[in-house]
Amino acid sequence: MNLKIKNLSKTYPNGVQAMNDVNLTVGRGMFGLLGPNGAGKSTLMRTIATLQDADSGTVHFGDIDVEKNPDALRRVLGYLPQEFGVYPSVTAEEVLNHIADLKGIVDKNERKDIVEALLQKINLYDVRKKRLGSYSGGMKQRFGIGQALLGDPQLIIADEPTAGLDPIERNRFYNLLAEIGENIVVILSTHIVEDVSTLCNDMAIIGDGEVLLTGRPEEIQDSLEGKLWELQIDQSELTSYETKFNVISSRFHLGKLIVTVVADDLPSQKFSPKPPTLEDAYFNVLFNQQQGVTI
Amino acid sequence: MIAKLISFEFKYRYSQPMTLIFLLMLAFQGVWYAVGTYDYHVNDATLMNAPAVVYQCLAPGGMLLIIVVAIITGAALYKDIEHQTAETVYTLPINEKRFFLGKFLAAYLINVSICLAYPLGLAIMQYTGVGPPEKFGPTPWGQLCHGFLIFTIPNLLFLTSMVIASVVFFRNMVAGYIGIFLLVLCFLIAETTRENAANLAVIYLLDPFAYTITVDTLEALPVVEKNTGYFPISPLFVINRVIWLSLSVLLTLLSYKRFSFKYFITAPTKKRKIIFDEDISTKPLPEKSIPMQQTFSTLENIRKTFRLSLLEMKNVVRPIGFIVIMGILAITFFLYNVLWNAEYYITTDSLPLTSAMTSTRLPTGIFLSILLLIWSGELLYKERTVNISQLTDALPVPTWVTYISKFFAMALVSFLLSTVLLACGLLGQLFNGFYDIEWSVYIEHLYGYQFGWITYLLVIAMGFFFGALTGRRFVGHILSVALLFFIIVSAEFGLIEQVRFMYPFAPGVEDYSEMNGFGIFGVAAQYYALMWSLLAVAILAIGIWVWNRGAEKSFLKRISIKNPQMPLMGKLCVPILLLGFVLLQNHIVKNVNATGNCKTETQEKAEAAEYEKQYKHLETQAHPKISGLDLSIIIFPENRRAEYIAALDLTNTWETPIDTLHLSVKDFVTIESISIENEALASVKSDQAHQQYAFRLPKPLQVNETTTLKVECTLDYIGFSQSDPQADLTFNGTLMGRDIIPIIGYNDAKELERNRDRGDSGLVKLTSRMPSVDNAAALSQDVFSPDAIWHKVSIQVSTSAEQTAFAPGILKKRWQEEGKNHFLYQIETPSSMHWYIGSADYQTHDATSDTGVKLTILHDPRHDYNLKHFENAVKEGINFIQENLGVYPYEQLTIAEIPFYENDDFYAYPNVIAISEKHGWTADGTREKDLAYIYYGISRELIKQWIYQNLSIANVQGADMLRLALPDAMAMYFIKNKFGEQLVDQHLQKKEDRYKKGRGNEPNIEPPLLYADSIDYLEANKGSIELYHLIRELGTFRFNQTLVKWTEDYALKPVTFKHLYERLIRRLPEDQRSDIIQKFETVER
Repeated sequence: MNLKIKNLSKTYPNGVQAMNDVNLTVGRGMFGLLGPNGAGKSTLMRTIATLQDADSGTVHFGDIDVEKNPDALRRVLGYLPQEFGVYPSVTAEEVLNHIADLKGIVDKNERKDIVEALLQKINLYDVRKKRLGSYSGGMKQRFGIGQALLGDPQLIIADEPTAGLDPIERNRFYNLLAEIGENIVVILSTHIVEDVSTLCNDMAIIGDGEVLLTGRPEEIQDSLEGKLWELQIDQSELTSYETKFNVISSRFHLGKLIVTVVADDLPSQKFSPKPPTLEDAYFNVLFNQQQGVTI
Repeated sequence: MIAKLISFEFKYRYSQPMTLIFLLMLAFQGVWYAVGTYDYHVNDATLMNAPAVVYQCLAPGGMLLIIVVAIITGAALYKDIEHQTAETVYTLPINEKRFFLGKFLAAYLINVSICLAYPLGLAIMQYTGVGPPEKFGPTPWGQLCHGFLIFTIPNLLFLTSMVIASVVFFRNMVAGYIGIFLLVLCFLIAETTRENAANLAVIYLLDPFAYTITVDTLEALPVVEKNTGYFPISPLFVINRVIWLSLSVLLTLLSYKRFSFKYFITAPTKKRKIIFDEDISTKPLPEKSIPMQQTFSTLENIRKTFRLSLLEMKNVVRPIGFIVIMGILAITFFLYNVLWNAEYYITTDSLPLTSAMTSTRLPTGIFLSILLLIWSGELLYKERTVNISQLTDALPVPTWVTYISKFFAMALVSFLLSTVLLACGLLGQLFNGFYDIEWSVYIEHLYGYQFGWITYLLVIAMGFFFGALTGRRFVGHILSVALLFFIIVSAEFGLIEQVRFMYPFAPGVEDYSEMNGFGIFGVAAQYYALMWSLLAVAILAIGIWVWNRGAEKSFLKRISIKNPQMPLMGKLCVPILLLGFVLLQNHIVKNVNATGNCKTETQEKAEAAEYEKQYKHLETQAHPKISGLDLSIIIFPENRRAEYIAALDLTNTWETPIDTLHLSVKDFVTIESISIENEALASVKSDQAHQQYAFRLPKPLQVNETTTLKVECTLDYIGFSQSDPQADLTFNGTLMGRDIIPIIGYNDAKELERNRDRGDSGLVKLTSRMPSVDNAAALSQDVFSPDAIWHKVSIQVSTSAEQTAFAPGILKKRWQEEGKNHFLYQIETPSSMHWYIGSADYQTHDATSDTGVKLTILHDPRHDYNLKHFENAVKEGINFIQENLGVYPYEQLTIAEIPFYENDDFYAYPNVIAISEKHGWTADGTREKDLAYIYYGISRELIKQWIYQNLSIANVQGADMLRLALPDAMAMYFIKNKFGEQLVDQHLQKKEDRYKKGRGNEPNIEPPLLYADSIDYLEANKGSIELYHLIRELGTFRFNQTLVKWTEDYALKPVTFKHLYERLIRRLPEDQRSDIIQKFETVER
């Protein structure tokens, strides 16, 4: 089943346009939705997850019209929102059991077995009897993905799932997602490029509510082959470089500022070529959007 | 820093649009309460903006004020936690104690500033058009400031410190609400027990708002003081203020000491140790492959609803806060049952009957409803509060499943609450060694729709509706609680009179009779409960429809027909349910309003005024008088119908022939036929609106001529009532008066008596409510029945096979025929036309007095607790009469128990004394106080019988001094002799209190006792006290001797109290007269 998003737009009452004619088709596997904070990713995720209505446009998952028949989508959905709380005085096992029930697993024994297996999968089995209020951030996030996995979902939406996780937790999380992402549609919304480059076989970059670029991560990355140049400069020179060249990003390395410039030819002799990464492609897209360049 | 914090809080609070709404609401409350309070002070001369009205409004502050304070105060301290700004703010370089003080002072000062709108509303009320200009005096600015200073400012301090302390100690906003409602509970207990409390001082001190002492003080003030004076501050008032002020300071100090950033930011659950991955095994266990089957059928959703209900209920009842609240409630209920015994609703002390135990639900009902509203809102928003809604809202569960399951969960919680009431009632009964437990009463009252569990369900539905409609937790709380209060207070003030506008209430909540149950209200309540249930289901459905699932949606989008949240069937159900609601409203209007069972006060006043304007001229015309009666009546209690034929002897006592017969007929009575000597009378006038008719006599009735009028009538109540128990003809406990027989001529009982009402209706104001002692026509009339002369009576009464009937006179015959019980009673010695016919399911207790009077006690089969005491009281009472006054006038005496909602609590007429079920039948006869009350009541009624049979009391001023005060004063002598001076002193004190309260509410002008004009507070209280003192001055022997001689001198001639008084005065030594004259002939201003 594919997820098809057509002409989706949404403007909030305060005038912020969160989505502007968004069109996407997402097939089986991991799909990365990359964009800076405030790009409209969460609005898009919530709209797909039946939690928000768009002003116009449609979302279909297979035959399901999400706006008209939200209940049908919820039956095949696993949703991990960007931020969520927990009932502090209830145990993980109790809540997962409750959510499994809500997801239609009505047989008590079956539910018990499934929750037990899931707790093992997300490595919370040992603490299943502990109250959720005592969980660390990583454990809460694993609990979150656990609840999303319940009920054999065909579409999983994970909104900024790795934000706030330490590298070890992030790795654990990648492993979990990689396992489940083969046969179903998984949308991973993130502003961390590494999430996409590590996991996704397809992606889109979103900025200011618009889809700026779609494609496979390696293709997007390779599109900059031979066009990236970098140079170590003084911090005070940054503005003049930004004026003279297409500086798509700047970063510090060992206390020195290194700028990355995109150009078809070597900008000057001082620059050296840089092998492109997905992050460069991402910055380039955002840079082009700022410059008003249509990709 | 404190100043900066206060300044910030003020800016924050006044930047919120809600603050403006609060200000407007409080100003509105000022006007609204003042109108209600003005109606409470019935005196014609009381101004609408009188200082007394102002003080009475300012003392409790009003429910809106309390809600506003609860919201503002808690938020001032807790909003940093709620909005997650605490981590930033609490790490700033500020002193935490000063921070606390700043927040406390800010909250208090903001409360004071916002609550200024309340007196402002009182000040501007005269410009709002709520009354004509002449009803207002100059704005009492001085008293407004004074009241604000002695009531509002300290009350706000109690409220603020209570909320802050609750929030600090429980670290929870809801705790603030609970704290404030505990204060309100204290107030409610004080207010509801004030009327009958044995130790009033304790009640005054228990009241945190000093409302009870204020009302009692204001009631006792003369009108001039009410209109111009300042509130008189008594030592007890000062003690009240000091106690509550000290408590506030103590609470604030404790909170100050307890508050620290570290403590306050750590929610109780967060105190637990955080688990890290290091604590758990990192090696996942081998995975199991488990087949999965998902079911999403409707049937499964229904099952799920019930499963979730249990889970959600556990979520409500598991927190320690809930357990603490339930514990407090249980203790309160128990104490209420054991200590106060719900006296307010029972009138006198009582054994712990089941109905007394269940009446605890009434004074605490408002509090419980508020709790349920808040818990409902909290449960509805539970997922949002802990921010898990983004997970749960995306789950494949229809909104109705989660919504309804929460409603069911609250239904279970409220069931638990009702069960706690039941348990406390049972404990109260067992604690008192009382084992006559009536389970059906417990179930009907605590789980039914008379402010029981079903009412709670309706309240919960309202909480859910406002929570869903507003999409905001706190706004939902405010609106639902405010609406509930609006309805309750409006009903209390008479601003809303019809129960069909008082969601979720049913008629008769406070009118449970041990004998008659809820009577006709029980029938009516079924329809009201069904009607409100339909509305509740409709608003529940609307709630599901508009509930904001997921991200915030516009209101229009939520109410859109396209909103897929509600299935089509559900959407179709809403108009159907609302249609059902409207149809039931219509059905109620047909049965209650269209049948005349309910009229608004305005309607009643207008009709009364119209009647007087139209028919007053009849008063001075010649009408025949009733001089004999032969009545045959069949009662159908189950249908509330009676059919009767009366043969009335009519005598022309005037000096001119009479050719027309004018009749005033009681409401719901229909004259089926009317004839003289088998000739039907021709109708001359038929005014059905006022039930006034005129018939042409076949031939003029000549002077001194007597003829027999035969009238065939039915008394038939159709439909049902919402406020009038229609006690004269009811299912069990009928008591029909003489007014079932048409009154000849003009019916002055229909006249408006309050001068304010008379003025409003364009009628001449009264100088006296009774004819003057010089009124020759009135002097010739008997006060009990101005349209009759003393005569003999024969009454044959038939009732259902289950019931026993009683009537005045000697029981001549009793038989059963055609499935009915028949009784024949006869009054063989002429007496005034003053009697009642009763019928109920009675058990009989027979005895004979020492003088041979045959006594029959007809009592409810369950109320056999004090029969022996009743019997002894009768015996001793008759002996007292024989010794002091002469022969007791009857050979047979029936004492019958009657439902409590008759017009009077006691009735004495030939051969019968009828006593309300709440006066002695269920008293604790082992206590001397209760026993004395039985003796007092019975002896007084026996003395009344002696007086009524020996004197024809003229229908003029002072009549009630003879009818009520004289037997009462003599009965006090009787109990003084039997039980001692101390008990009488208690009675005298109570009477004095009642008199003082009553005179403050005198609607016209208080007359001197000599010219007393039949007003509740005067003759039976002050009249009785002064006569008691007069007897003491004269000595009982001399007094009795004078009374007996006077009675003999004026046997069967209409007499006045003035005449007796003059005789008594003459027997007093000269030097003692002036004091007595002052008491009886002047009014203390």
